[in-house]
Amino acid sequence: MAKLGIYLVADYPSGALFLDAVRACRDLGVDFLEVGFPFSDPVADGDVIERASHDVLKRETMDRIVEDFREARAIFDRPTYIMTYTNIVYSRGVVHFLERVGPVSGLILADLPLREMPRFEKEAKGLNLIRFLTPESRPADMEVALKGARDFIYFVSKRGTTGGRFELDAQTQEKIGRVRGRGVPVYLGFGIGEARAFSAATDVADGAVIGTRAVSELAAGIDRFRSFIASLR
Amino acid sequence: MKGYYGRWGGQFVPETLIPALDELEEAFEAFRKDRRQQAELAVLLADFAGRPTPLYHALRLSERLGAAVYLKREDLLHTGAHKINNTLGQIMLARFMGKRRIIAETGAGQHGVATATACSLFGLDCEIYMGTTDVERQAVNVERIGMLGARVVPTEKGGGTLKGAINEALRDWVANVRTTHYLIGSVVGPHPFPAIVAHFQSVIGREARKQFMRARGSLPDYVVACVGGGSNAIGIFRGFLSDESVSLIGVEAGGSGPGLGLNAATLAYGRPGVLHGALSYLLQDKDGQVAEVESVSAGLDYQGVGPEHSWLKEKGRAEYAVCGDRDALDAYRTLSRVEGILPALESAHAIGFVIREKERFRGRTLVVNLSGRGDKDMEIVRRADHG
Repeated sequence: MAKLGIYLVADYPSGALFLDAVRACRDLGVDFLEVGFPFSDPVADGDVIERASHDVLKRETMDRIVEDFREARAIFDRPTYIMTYTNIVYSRGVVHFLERVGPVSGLILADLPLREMPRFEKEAKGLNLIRFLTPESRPADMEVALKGARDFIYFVSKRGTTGGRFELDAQTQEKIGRVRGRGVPVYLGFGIGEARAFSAATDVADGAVIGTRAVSELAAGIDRFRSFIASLR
Repeated sequence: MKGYYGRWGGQFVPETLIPALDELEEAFEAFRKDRRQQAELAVLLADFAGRPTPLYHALRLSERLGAAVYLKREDLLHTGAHKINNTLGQIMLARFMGKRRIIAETGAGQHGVATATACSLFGLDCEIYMGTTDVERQAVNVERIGMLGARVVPTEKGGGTLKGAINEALRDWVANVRTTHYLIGSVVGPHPFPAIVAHFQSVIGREARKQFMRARGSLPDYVVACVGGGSNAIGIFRGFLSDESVSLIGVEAGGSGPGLGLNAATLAYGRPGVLHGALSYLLQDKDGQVAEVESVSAGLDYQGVGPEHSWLKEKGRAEYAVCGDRDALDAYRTLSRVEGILPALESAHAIGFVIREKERFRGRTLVVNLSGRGDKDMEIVRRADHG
């Protein structure tokens, strides 16, 4: 069965609701989580996630975010990734960051392309950096991504920021097909916001991540969030 | 390593942009070697922009300071600042690549005006991202951009200043990367932008070195320039990098004081970080969140700095100093009264630093890059006079 990943902004809309959402994801069989650590300048994100990130930064300290992330890990027993931007990890050193956050399945850094990954992997042995491919990727990029990938390849479905509509052009579908079945699962993300899009995405890929819509549903309350997650498959 | 100055620089952008950066790098290499393109650019720089700009011996200022001060008059260029050197170069590069749409960010509006001007000249569509705070304090430039047929897209995000404008321009570029060239205005951003902008601005230093040699028969003791992102400074430094006897000094915006959030002096008070595609010095808090910045000058009001500056600082090839709002405002008035030149508030930081440190420069020779003209800042200076 296709894998379902849910992205949540840490401590959004509050620490308690974030943890409630993590429990809901566990109960409803979500396969993996991506927890967004807010960054002041999230250039890969659309309005919804940017606003949520800034809201958390206004309210919470990094210590609190880390504490709740650790709590989330204790609740959710399946793979859990941190999704953020390079500077959050680089600022005090990747080794320091990893020690601080504790066990994590891997890091997804929205502004860290394939070619800038080796320096971090040299610095922190065993670090699992998730590889992106995109509609712009060339055959050589695909080989580099496949070679380094462990858990999955994060295929960005469109040119643009998170959120918006799901659309796959024929050329992108063809590119996804070329990396699929090469030993690493391919998950699609960006713009997948409801059951129909999830189903369309997982027709061509091994799984998909839902972010923006999950974040805004949770902002409307935990019941809304639960029924949204339950509606996805 | 490719794309790095020492350990500074790189390409920290979403994977989606990587093929476009590669394409840009290849096109830039071909463009540099293309004689016809270079000849056309040379004509534009001379007849449209007004190069070479004079190197002016500011006698009355020199007398006051007890030093020989020469001003590189980039303020006399068409559109009123050094920015046009880069926009004419990049607009030709964009045409060379077949891009029909141009986007840019602007702080003080000078790069916005220079971009809109170049787009008008080449008949390309043009959108300029600008923070709402800057839209307000640089209203004259906003009107100029509109008159030139480009569209200003105001953004409240990221503090309403340059940082937020770059964020929005990067988002636009990710979405429209096939058709659009992002015409970055400073030596910032992912490789190859810092190299491209430095290349187009290095004409300043080449001219200044020749002109100074002609005037004095020797090299200057000091070359001084203000640093926001750092393009006018890199432009003039490049002419003197291999002249070990010439001290290079970059002057950052000291705002109202040294505390985080009160200034934009990245190299003085920041530490290494990653923003807008490059690893460089960055004003940030202890957890890596990018800090607020403050400066009376919209063009210097930026949290990051070009990676080549971080490298020059680390190597000790350039020195970086700070000039606060007050000294810059005083310098604006002084240069106006003493030399009959209204400097841009950005450039006034370089002048203000030299005036403040006059003991150090007594009996020495200096070239100061007067990167832009100050008409756009009169309202800010007038308000400061009454506040």
